Amino acid sequence: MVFSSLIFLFQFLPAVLLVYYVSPKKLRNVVLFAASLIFYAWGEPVYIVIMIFTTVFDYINGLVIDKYSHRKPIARAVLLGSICGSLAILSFFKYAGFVVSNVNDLFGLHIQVADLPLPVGISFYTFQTMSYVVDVYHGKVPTQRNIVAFGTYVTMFPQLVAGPIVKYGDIAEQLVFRKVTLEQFGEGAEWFIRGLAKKVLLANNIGLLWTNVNSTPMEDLTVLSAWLGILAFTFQIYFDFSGYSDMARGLGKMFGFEFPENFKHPYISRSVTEFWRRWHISLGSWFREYVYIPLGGNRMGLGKQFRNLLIVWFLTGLWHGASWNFIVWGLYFGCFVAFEKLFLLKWLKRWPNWAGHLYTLMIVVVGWVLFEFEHLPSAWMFIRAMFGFGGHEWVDRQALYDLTTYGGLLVLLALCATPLPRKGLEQMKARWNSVGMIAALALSIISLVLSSAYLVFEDYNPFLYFRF
Amino acid sequence: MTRYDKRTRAVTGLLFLLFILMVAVLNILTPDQAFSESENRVLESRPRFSLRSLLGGKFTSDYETYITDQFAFRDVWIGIKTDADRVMGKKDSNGVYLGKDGYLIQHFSSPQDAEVNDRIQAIHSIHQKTPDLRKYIMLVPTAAALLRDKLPAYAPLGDEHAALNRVRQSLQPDIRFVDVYPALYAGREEAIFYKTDHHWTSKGAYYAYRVLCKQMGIVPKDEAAFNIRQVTDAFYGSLYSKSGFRHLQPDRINLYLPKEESKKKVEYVYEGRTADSLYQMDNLSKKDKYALFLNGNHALVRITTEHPDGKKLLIVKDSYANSLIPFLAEHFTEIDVVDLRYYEESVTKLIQDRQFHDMLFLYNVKTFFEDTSILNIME
Repeated sequence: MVFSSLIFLFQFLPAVLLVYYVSPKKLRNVVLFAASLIFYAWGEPVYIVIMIFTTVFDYINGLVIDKYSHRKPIARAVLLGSICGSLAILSFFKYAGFVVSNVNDLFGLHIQVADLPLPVGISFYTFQTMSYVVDVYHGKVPTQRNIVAFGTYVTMFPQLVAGPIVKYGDIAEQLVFRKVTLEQFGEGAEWFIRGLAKKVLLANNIGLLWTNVNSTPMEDLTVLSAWLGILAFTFQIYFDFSGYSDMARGLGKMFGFEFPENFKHPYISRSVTEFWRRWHISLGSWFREYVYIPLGGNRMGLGKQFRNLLIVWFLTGLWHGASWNFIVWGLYFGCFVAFEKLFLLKWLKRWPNWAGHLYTLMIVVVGWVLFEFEHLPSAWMFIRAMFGFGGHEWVDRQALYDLTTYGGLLVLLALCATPLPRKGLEQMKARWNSVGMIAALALSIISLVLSSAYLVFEDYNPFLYFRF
Repeated sequence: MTRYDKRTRAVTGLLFLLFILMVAVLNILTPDQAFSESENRVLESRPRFSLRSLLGGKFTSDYETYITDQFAFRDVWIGIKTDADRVMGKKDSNGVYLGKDGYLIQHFSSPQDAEVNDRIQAIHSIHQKTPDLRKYIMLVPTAAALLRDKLPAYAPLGDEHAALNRVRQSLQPDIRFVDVYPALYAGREEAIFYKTDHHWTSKGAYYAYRVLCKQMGIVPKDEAAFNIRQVTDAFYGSLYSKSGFRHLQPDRINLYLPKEESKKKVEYVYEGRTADSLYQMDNLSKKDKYALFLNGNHALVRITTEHPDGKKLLIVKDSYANSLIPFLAEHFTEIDVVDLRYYEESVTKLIQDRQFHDMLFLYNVKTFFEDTSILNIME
């Protein structure tokens, strides 16, 4: 199930909220656990077995590590077993096809591999259980002895499908004890509605522009279309992903959980390093904590530090998908982060603000081309078209039509990608209390009603039997 | 955090709960509908549960379609959506442009070379089998070509005129190409197309009829020979449904009824039904009012008139023909109307059986290139 669907919004969520709040506190984890299993099974009736296996597997591993905490070799062996097990499952479903096809290409073989669909959310929940086991091993978090509480953590439907990656330590206490006031619930609703609007009203609509441009044959692209298209994608992926994270955070709050913020206006960054501190924050911090720092981080000389950066960015790329373009995309950012550590950040400090913004946006936007085109030569052709190489026209009717049709939306998106709207609302609230309150409420209601309308339209499909 | 902040949040929370619960309850209370009048299709009904359909993922996806299809006040939500789109500057929806003066205009993409060639080949193949039958082909440009000034600025459209010329140049010279483009272009200031429907009006069809007559060597009737009768002023056509755009004026439908009345027999051959009028007036109370012309589209319709000279015409066509045929019925004794989208028998055999004098292909440009049923004529 996805959040941005009528069935979630008007059947699943009201039902779960009702049952949850009617149930006594003791049973609330059970309710949440059961709801999460239904939520997952709705879309993945078969793969739910894998998720349950992962949950039980690392629940037991946690217990065993705890039991042998005074005998490090055994604990370490279990830790290794747990990590290998998790990675094996992830690799089997996510990377087997990719590895085999590369091996085939390299050695001219024809090994067949079953083309399995990727279980939804596997990259997220595997990382969560891994963080738990590692933290138990290091004694950073208490072992969870209650399988329901642990299961609630792993499968929790608000963050199951698209993050944020919540570390066990972040919510360990809330799993046992949590309190929700009406204000907290309302804050959750605010986050959820904002996220829903980002996804349904902003991301989906600008996505239409990218779909248009992306379906144009590469040789017919004009420079203006290429830019409109990739800017559309730039906004689409941000509002889609951050919208999802906002909805997750909001739902979490409605049930009394506090998830970390996953996006903080990444497109206003003035360096690539800053961008990655604002984009998909929970993933970056996961890699820092469980890969970069264990490898030695920056404490073992420049050479090792660059090796570590290389590994982390390779893995960051690979995490996004089993294809070379994602690896190239990760390493591309790794390079800029490394340059910035070496000298660029010092330069950037001396540059005017706008130059930093422009530099970062350019790197990020070109990066999205690498991200979006699985076929790397196509990505290269697209980048050439953006910069006017390869004999592309500058503009055509299609580009002008798209510009006049989507221009207003693009401006709105650019505005919404900055903290300005939120600041404006805060100021309004500070200056005229009641007006600000009414404005905030009106915005929420309008967003909610419009999002519902767009969701209903999604399958609007008049059949014209008086065919054409 | 101020007192107002707290209060705003609390109210937001309550309103959110109220909203989702209210819509949920409304959805439970509104009875399911089998058919959507405005979308003109059967709506999904509650899927039957079985373990197999659940594990295969079919149950859940059917159930989601069911929920959206049966969503309470669906039409209201659709209207809210298209209104919001309009506010944001969107000028098309589902392949329909929101034009000036309340015109909805369908998109047209230029055909590929292969698509043109396939159709030419289909026509040539039937011509080879029936070389003695005189053939005409009329391809009607749509509003997208003739009402360019009504389109939103820069609307990216294929060139219908160029597509027509490609057909004209590839046809064997003894197949007569009826070029209605100039006549319709000259009349483009008048109401030759409906504003909310993809068809031409009877007026548009009348202009084309004059061109056709000239080429067939028939003397067309003057406009003065008809009583022009408005039969409805509340027609919301196919493009209104397709786009979902609201706040538009409905169309009027005018019929050209000959002042000199004569009897007609209209036989719906496959349905085994006969009527004595070219117009099925009770369709005016339905959604698709254009279906009043010849009761919509049928595999084979045979029209017989009291015309004395015994000439027989075969028309292979799309729905554009339905409003032109009443004019031709004044000049032929028998007209057989074949819609290849539904007709499954051999057209060659029909030609041999009925001994036609003339054959007319009549399509609008868009259907001609997009619909593939014309290729079946090759057999």
